[in-house]
Amino acid sequence: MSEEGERQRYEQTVLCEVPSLVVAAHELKAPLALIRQLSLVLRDEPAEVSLRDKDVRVLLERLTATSERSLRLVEMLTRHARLEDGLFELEPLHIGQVCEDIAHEIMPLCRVSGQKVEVRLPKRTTLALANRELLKSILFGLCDNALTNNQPEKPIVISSFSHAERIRVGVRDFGPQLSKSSFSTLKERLGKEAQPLGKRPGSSGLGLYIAGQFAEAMHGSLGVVRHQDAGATFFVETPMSAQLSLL
Amino acid sequence: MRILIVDDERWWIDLYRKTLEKEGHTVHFALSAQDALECIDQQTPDVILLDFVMPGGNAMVLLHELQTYADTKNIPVIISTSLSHAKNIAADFEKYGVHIVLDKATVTPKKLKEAIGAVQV
Repeated sequence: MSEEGERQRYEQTVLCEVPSLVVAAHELKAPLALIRQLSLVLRDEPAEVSLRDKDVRVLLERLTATSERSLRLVEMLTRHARLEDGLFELEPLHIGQVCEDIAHEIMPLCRVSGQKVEVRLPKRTTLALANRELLKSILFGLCDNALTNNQPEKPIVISSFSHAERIRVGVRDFGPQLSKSSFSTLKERLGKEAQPLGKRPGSSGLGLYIAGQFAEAMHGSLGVVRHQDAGATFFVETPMSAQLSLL
Repeated sequence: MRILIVDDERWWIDLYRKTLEKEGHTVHFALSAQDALECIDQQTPDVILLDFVMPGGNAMVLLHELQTYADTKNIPVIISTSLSHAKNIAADFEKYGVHIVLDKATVTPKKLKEAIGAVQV
């Protein structure tokens, strides 16, 4: 069998088309496996070779960050399952405040990974018509992704701007530049159903798929921009609130 | 032994490295298949501990490349993965030098040491 044929057979039989539930299970298993390992280190370190306080602190921070990541994924999955119930009402939201909240909430993850986050906002107040829970969920996920891809020398940047009755909030990382083919594939699949694990190296895309669904529930959309120098900006766009005209 | 850990998750690298260095092994790491190939170019490892799904190309990319060259095709590979059907991977990739598959959900320092011992020549 040719190499290509073998690869296809592998993708069919081993990394086969799997329903989203299995993808979600894998996405949860990975951080839980890490939590278990971190706990084992704390439990099993022999008394005569005790961990320094600093090492214990690092392990505990990683345990906390990883378990919080798992909990957030569970929350996202729960919200996603309830989208059709129409429970997520839209309201005018001060985008600057939302961005500052997210920057504050992501700080523990930044600390654990030795990185920083910066918020860059326009001087003019902007109100988006969105759902606070869904929007924050999307932005937190984008920030988490950015921290994973980013080079630590530069901060990840949360920024917003408005254009043609829409508000765009983006999260920029300065990680490795996406190749044109990877970017093209990513852009095509963004927000679409999570892919079989083999077709999307590194992740199933479950987080971005759910983020895309959240964005759509707010009459918005998800997008990505590839930068020439480094990294990418993932963004969410929502309608601008008409209430701005009353200010 | 010289062991190359290939995993996009630094915390897994730290965990494995801690166990392996305690056993006296020299440990290098790479965060992607591409980085791993560059590491291998500089110095051939005795064993590769390889995460199965990573950005920029999963383990298959690396495994195919290793088989291309005479000085790398016989490097034993231990796959480390959270994939639920890990056992299938072992059976399918034996010919690529994959001797053992460790399930990240159940791996312990003891199992890791045993795996390294099993592929040691």
